[in-house]
Amino acid sequence: MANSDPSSASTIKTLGELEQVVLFALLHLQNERPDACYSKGIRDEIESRTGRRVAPGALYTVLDRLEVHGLVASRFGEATPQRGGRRKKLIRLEPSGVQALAQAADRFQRMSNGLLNTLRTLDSRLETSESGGEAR
Amino acid sequence: MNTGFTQYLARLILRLCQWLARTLGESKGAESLRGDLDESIDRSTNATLRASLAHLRDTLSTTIYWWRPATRAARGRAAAPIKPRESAMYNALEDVHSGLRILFRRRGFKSAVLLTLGLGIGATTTIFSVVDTVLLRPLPYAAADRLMALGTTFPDQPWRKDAAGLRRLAGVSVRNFADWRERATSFDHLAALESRGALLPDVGRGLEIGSAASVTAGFLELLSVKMHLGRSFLAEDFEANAPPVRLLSYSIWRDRYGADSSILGEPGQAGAAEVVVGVLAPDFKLPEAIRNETPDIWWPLKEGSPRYLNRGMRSLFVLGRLAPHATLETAREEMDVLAVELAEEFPDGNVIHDGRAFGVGVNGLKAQTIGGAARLLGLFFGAAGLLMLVALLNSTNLMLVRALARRREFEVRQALGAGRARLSLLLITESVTLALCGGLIGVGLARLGVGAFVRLSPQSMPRLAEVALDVRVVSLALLMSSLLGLLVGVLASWGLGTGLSLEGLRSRAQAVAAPSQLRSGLVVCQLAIAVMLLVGASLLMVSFLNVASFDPGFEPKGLWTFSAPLKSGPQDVGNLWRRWDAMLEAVGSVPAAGVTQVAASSNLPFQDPNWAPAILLEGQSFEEMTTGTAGYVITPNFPEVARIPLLRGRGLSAADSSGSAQVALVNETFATQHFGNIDVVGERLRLSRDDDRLDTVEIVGVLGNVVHNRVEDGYQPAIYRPYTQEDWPRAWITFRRDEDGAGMGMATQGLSLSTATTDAVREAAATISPIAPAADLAPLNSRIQRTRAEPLFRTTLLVSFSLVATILAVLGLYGTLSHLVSRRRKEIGIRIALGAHTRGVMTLVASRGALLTGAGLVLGLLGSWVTTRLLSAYLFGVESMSPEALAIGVGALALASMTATLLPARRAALTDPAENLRAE
Repeated sequence: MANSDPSSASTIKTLGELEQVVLFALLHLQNERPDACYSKGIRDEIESRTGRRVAPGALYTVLDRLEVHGLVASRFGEATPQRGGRRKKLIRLEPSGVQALAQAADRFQRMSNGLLNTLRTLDSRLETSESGGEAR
Repeated sequence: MNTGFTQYLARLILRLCQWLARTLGESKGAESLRGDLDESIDRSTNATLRASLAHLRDTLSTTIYWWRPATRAARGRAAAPIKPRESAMYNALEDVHSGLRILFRRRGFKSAVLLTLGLGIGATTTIFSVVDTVLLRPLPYAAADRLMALGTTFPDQPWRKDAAGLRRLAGVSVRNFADWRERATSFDHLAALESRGALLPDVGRGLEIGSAASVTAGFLELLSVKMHLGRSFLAEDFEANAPPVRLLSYSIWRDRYGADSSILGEPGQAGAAEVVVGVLAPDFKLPEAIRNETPDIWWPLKEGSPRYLNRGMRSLFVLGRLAPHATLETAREEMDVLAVELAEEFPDGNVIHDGRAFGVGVNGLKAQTIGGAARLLGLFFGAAGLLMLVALLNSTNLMLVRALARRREFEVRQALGAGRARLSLLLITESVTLALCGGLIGVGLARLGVGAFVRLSPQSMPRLAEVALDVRVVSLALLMSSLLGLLVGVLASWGLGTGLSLEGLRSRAQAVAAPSQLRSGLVVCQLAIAVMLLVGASLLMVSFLNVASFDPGFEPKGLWTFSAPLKSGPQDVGNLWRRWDAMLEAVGSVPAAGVTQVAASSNLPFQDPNWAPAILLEGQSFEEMTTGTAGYVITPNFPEVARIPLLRGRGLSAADSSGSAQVALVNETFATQHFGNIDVVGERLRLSRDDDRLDTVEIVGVLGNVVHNRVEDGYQPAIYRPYTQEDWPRAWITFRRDEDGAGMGMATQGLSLSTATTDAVREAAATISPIAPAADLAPLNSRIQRTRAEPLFRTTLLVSFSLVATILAVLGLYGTLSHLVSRRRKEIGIRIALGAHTRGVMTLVASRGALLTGAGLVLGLLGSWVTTRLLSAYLFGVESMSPEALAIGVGALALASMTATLLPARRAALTDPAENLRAE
């Protein structure tokens, strides 16, 4: 299990897919519901937008990594009764995080430029021909 | 599945989640994680199973994250070496997680394992739950293990069998009880109860009798009774001239007195004949050894009353608490001596005519309550254990197949450096996870099973009301399931381990032999156990059919019965037959009932004999006196109405009156037992009674045998006396109804009477015996059914266990053979291509199936030779190794096995060689 070396902080080169999704979710939340900028809120946001249920362990791992690289920062928030009186760990996007996300989105856009329509047509065709069995 | 069950499972899973979350600890880092978990819990009271499973996945994911090395490093513990315990925790969690993921993905295979384990665990947990309540748990009273039941023992009572180690207890006279209390040192407390009846306050249903009891001072305290209202008895309430008081049970206070607390009063209030001073707590239950229902009305027993002076009137049930220094044995010894002392001092009522004294019996109250049920429950538990064993073997087999199917995965893992231990751990954690889930299903099934057990169980099963699935049993079941999972995993990885090697990656054909032998062994064991259970079940079935088809000696169809107390006061003594006559006339004249014949008797067939006169033949001395004869007092037409055949001599007639010669009828068994043949008309014998009377009677006729108590006891000797010559205070009225006539229609063929008819009979009975008239009106057939409830129950239980075991075992056989066919598909294809016949190919598979089945049958029959011996106490009319039962058991298994063999064999024979070879 390769752990990220703390000395390489803020020199992160690429963002993983889940990392991008998490950062996007954070961006949404910061604009719309700043009080939900914590792990549970991020999970719910991702689920409501994409239908994907991220395993909590995976999300914590991503957040840890982002924090180590200085893309996000965390502080303890207030405790609520639903949480059994335990405090939230509120997450804030750091400038470098915004920068990294912008770069990633940019890269994605440039790579997919002019291909999105083609992709959708291909996808819909695949859907009709796919049998659904376990490919081996 | 019902919603109650899934909710129960969901709650159980949520509790597991809470436990897991607690392993995170209370550190600052864990705070937000636990907060997240808390927040995502579905707090609605009816959490769904789906939601709870989702939460379990979240919890596992969080815990795994917390314990993984990277996170630990971030927590600043990188420097500290990871303790093996912690890394094991992480590995285990991860394996559980992947197990759960597989569980969600491969539902078909896993649900087979889950169902198998669930059935086994469910059956065992159900029975264990009953065993735990009935046998293991103490009675619900303070110092319950020192509570003893005491009673009078008769010199011999051969017609009643009893559980080992228990003495058969009869009632105790008040004078004897007082002497015991005074002299016995083994008990620091002795108290007694006398069962009575009492008129209940009328709430518009007519006069009804409730159950009541008189108790001596300290009885309620001995059973640690709490009061719901008012006070218990005080010492002065027991004095001879104390104002009369009573206590009420909670249920009667609620139902008959409208839970009105103003009915409480104090003695001495003007106008009140008897004052209610208290209401017992709702949860109080009288020990079942004394009486099945808890009395509604309680009185203090005033020992000075003249009615208690007679030592022959044994009406008390005595309870005692052992003194600290005493044991059951020392108490028995002391009481044996005391019995002799009392017999010498007060022979009147303590000694029978032949000079033998009544004894004193002491039994543990719990043992007395359980009685013969311990053995029966042991039998059930054994059967459930065997079923569990089949489930265990079966799921090991399934796990092994599954592991074999994943051999490539394991081999790759091994090639990548995973050690044997790590692979075994993977298998074991997977099987433990599966077994735990199976355990949860089993617990759910047990919940249904316990409910069904309580509902279907015969009344004779003690402590049924207390039986419930409790936390202790559930946790034990889950613990057992994880141990089973461990066992299954170890077995499977052992079986797999022999075949795992790097070579396996290259050549797949090898290394299958070892697990295959193990699997065959597992199948043979399963089949053997199934045979044992099947043979046992068929023995019980044959035995039950014997009981059900046993000739009762009379014609119960169309007979209806009810009991009537006929003694209204001392003026009736010597004239009770007049009241019998009046009752018969009243019932016979009911116009609507379609009654064609009415008779009366002191007791009915299929009931405990309530009169057992000791018999002396002419010329015999007291030492030769025989007991164990059932005595009946009957009207002359009773044999005719019940259709009991008269074999010799004459029946009783109206001419046999109180003034004429004393006569009796006997049954066939009596005649052959005492005289060697049934030509006994004119013989004379003497009947002795407790009150020293000896009557000489002449046998005037011989009746056919009738079942007295239970069919299992066979025909017992019986003597019938005319009602005019034997004063009997309570009559059973039997009437035969015209099955076709009187416009009764179809409904009356069976077991029901129209309300109008019932009311008419009751009204008629009420003119003679006004208290609770004909309350127990029922067809005689239903009384017979009741005596069959217990054999029917145990037969049903064992048959269903054995069927489930058979299905599992045969499925195991089927799985093994199918696996064999798919593994040797290529070989079979080549054989067919080379010209092998269909029959030859089928034989190839079928011979394997026959070999396994044969081995299972042989082993199973050997096992049956042992297990059926345990059943012998429950068998009637069938030997423990009876050929017919063996044939049923073996036949059933052979038939099922044949089906399980032929299906894969056919599939093998239909193999298309071309397709097969092309696939390679």
